[in-house]
Amino acid sequence: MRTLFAALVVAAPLAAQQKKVPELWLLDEVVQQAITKVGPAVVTIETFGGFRKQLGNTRPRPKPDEGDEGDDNKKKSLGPIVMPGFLQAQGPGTGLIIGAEGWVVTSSFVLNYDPQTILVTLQDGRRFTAEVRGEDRSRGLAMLKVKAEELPVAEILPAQSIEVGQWVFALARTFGAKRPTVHVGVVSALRRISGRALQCDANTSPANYGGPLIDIEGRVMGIVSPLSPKGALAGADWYDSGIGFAVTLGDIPEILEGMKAGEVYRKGFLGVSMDQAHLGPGAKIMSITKRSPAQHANFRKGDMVIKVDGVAVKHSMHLQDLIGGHVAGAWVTVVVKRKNGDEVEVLVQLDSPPPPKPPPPKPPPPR
Amino acid sequence: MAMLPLIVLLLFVGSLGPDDEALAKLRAYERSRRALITKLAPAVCAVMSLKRPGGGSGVIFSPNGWLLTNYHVTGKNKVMKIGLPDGRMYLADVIGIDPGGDIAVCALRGKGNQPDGTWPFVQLGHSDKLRIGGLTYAMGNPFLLASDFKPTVTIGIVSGIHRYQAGTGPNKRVLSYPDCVQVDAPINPGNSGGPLFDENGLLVGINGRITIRDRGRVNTGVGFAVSIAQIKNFLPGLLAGRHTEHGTLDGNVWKAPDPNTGRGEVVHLQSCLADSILAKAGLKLGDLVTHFNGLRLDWANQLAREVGILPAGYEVTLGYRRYEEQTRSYLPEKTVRLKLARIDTGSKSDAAPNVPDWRERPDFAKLRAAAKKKAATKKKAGAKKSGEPGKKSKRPEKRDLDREEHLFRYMDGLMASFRHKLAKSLSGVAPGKRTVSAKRTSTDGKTSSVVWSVDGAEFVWKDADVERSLSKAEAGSDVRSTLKRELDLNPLLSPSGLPDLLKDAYLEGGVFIGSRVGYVCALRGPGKRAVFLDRDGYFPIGYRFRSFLDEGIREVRFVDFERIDGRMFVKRAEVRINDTPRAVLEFVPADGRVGFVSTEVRNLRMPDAEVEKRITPLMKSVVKVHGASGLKGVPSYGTGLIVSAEGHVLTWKHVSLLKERCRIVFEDGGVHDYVRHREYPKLGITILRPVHELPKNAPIRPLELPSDRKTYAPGTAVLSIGNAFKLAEFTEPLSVTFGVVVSTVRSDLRLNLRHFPFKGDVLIVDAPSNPGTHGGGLFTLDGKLIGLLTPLVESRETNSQLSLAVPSHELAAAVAQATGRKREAIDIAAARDEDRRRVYTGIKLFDTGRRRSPPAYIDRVMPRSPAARAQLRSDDLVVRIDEFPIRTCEDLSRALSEFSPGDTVDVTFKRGSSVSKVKMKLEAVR
Repeated sequence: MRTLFAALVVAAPLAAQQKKVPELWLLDEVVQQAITKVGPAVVTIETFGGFRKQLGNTRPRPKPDEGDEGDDNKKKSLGPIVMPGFLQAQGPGTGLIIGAEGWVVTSSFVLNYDPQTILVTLQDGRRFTAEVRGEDRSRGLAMLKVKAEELPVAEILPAQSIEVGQWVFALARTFGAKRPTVHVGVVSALRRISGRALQCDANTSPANYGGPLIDIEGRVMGIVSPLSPKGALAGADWYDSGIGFAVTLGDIPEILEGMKAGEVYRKGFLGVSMDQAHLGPGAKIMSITKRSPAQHANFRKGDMVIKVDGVAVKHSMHLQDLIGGHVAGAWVTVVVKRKNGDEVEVLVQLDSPPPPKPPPPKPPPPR
Repeated sequence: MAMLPLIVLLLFVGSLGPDDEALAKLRAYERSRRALITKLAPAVCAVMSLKRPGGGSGVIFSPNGWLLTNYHVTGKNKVMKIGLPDGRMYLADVIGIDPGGDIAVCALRGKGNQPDGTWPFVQLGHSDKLRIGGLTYAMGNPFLLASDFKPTVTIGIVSGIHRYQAGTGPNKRVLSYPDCVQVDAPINPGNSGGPLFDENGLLVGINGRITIRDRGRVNTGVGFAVSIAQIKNFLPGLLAGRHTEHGTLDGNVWKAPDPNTGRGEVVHLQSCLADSILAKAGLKLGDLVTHFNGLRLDWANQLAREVGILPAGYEVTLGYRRYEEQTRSYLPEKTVRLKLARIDTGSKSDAAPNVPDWRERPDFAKLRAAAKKKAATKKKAGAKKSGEPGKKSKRPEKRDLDREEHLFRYMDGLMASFRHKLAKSLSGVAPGKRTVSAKRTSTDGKTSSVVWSVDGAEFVWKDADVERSLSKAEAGSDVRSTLKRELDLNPLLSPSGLPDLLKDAYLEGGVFIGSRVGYVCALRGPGKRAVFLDRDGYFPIGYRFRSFLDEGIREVRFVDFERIDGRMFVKRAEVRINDTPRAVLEFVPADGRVGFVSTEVRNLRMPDAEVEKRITPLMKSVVKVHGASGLKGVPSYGTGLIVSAEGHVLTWKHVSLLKERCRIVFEDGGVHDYVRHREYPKLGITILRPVHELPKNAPIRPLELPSDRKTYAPGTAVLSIGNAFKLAEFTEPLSVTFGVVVSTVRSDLRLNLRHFPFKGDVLIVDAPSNPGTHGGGLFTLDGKLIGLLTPLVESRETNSQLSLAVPSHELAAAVAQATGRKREAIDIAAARDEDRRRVYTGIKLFDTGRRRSPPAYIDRVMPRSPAARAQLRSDDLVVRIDEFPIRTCEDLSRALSEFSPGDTVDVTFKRGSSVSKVKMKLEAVR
């Protein structure tokens, strides 16, 4: 008790060394070096033709590869990407080369029109046509392939070495300039959107979706994408608000490989809604969606979800995070506690969420 | 293989350049920020209602688990759900609310989540020490993104201080922000109630408000935080569980033409109610209001700001001068003391207080047992009647014993913290040998005599000591005996005994002594005894008790302190009986200082003034422009740059300047009439000149527009200075935002659904433009002008809004010409008006003429046309003309309109799956 009060009294401990050069000046110097390092791997992506996907206007994406018929998931409608209210232009977007043999990763936002033609332009002016190979709808990422060899590749920063408060630069080549454009900010939070993305306060907008978010040494943290917890890429209407997301690349090597192999990933869906008044621990089931994995697993109203994959559930939002971090088709072990005290462990295969309904009238948002 | 990493490492080391030093320094900054965030973040919480969705943020400011948030987050709720960054949810009771100032205080229930049972907390800072340009961090839970309750950290600079933002509701009196901090750190819905920290990690404000554009409820670089200075004024009341009320003078004070002489504009009383405090204090309509609490008033806004941050009941001084008809002059200044009246926020303060009556502590064990018994009998009765036996009682009078007991524990915690602070500050007072005397002054100003002195002991006010000292006193016996009796009656005179006394105390509310806010810690039981503590709780600033001698409430207020060697010493005290000042006690040191108290616990680090140093001179170069627009939604104000010693102002050509005249406000608040001088439509600029010659000492600093074409690489740090949303009026400094150059490009832009007038390369920046910033300056951190801010434009390529500036070198010639400095300067507008005949390519496109233009596939190529010579074929897809990206047929015709016959352009096209580029010489349409 005493030491704690002492901490209160002794004020800010940071009075350590007086730094001479203000931070903003240093930033000015460092940013150029970082841009030079990553710049060659940042590409312009232009799209031609296609139709903008919106609510009520959904159609399946054409097969990335012919002859791959078996998978049901791929035939399903992919749903809208951009919520109504934001009118997307079909201007160029940005992508990042992650494989020297022609692999370019970008945000699904850039390909939202289902374009007939995709053109990738490198820093040195070389242009290639590209085709979409795979997608991760839950992260808003798409994998493109261009026919080229020995392309410049960016260095990817391991996800665990990213920390809140670090400076970040969001690079892009959307405006076709010789040097990439840059927006500056700091890492606002880690593991947002069910652990898929980091949050930054650099301005992100259609001007840099698909581009890399780098640290001050020019290492790539992630790909800027308009995400929001509400679903799909609704985050585009938050553009330039200081709430930006970048899908962390460092912790999804399997997903990237899967996308290269033509996989289309979706968000995992269990099909339970939670009692928000229950503070935890555990999450109390309020209702169960029909024909959902939860119903197949025989969950009931009033059951308490206490563990997912061995992790104790803290509260309902925590459960959403634990489930939402998986892609559809993944198997998870869920432990529920019945009303009578029995604990049941079930292995559930997650499904993809049903197509969203048109949004209800907006409740007053928080201030 | 093992050699490979080594080689890579060597290469890396080999590439160490001079910039690596900057990188290392920046890394050091990052590390210290990380440490700061790690320390602060655990105290930042999500605040949610139990029932309704949505919520905001909050911050814990005490190890006892008290947290600050916005009133518009808690509303009328009594209990809130709190999510802490440890990932768990807790309950907190709403203790005190301040609807007028949009603040609420809650107390977390139960034991803290730290190992020692306390809560993580942050320290309150000093918002009045903030500087424009200083770094700030905002934390909170915007859009309720944090499902793990880990806060969002955003960074920004202080754009403005002492901003006034009117409230909402009837008379705009609820949720007003009279003296707030403006920051460009992104603050979004959900950030409300969250903390704003200065660069040292001290809490300087509670984020609560943003100004938005037509895009909707997202940040646009203008966020406001309730300053911690204001919150500290209300904290005693809030902690005591009050619905605190803001003060008002009950009158309108305006700066308007002098009603008495008709000469010049003066700050005077325009209207007040006949029974208002101003009228009672003797003020009349037309009186000049000159001072408020010692602050000279130059603008009416100052008064609104100063009054707005004070609670009702606060004693203030007001200086005024009256006009005398006979002598036709103003009488000398008079000063009145008045108590601020209560502002009518439309919400009743007494309605359902959040806290129980502190005076009597109920026996909770007993009450619980009784309730249990009652429930049991009811259950029996209820079981007979219905299937749902007495589960939910809807009786309104049912006491929530858990909540009440928790609140009493909260009050105990509050007193414990005061006790601890007091004990700490008093422990530093070591015994010593000093002579001390006090003299008594009656309020009429006549000093009677020296009344008592203490010799041979440090003035620690132990009863026994004082007793001993008094016996040695040489002063008049009657006063001495009064004091002695007072000492007998008033046990609070012993500071060393104070911590013990507070064991049984509760917080009653706030007290305002001089300019000092304090806590009234009342003791339970009769006698109305209370001790007043300063606003941080470290030392007493007075006491109160029912005196049997004069049958009234006797209050002793320490009105004057002296700070020596980090200790506070009482110099003067005021004695009041039944709230009427009776006498002043002056403590005169003989060879030492009369003392109580307190090792000063503040360890202030001055904020980084480096950026401010650069900004201050620029404020003399950027001016406020007020025109007339008459159009709804179009601002009639803007910003301008002074570009000549005669006072020429360069600004953006804006609809508000359609009328010939406008007004320009300089840094000192001086208003000058200006008239349109020159206009350059193709540059998008207007140059204004003063109607009358400016006074010699006008506070202006003309800017140099460099004519050399220096390009600023993406990433160059910039400051943009402009009058966003007309937040700055008269002397108030303009808003400053930090950003970087995003790019220097020629892009396809749209301004108000039309083409953007300026066709050259523009600077895209990420310092946000807002209504009113157009015509402002974009500066490097060294204070060099690099561009003129334009209104917000839209990019046709992204459909998103962009903040732009026209590079200053593009404007240099025009400015030189208009200001007459360079006679030979070319007319930019004429020079740019080149050959605009339509061009011919010979490409027939496959255009369906539908609303949405299709990609530019070539349908046919006319023989012997430029396209044919360039070997273009049908079914080729044109993707680029020079640097203009072509996505649709419409894009192609627009791009071609930028060229003249005879120009040679690069055509990039896709044929099959390959992309190629050819040169094409354009011809004129025949």
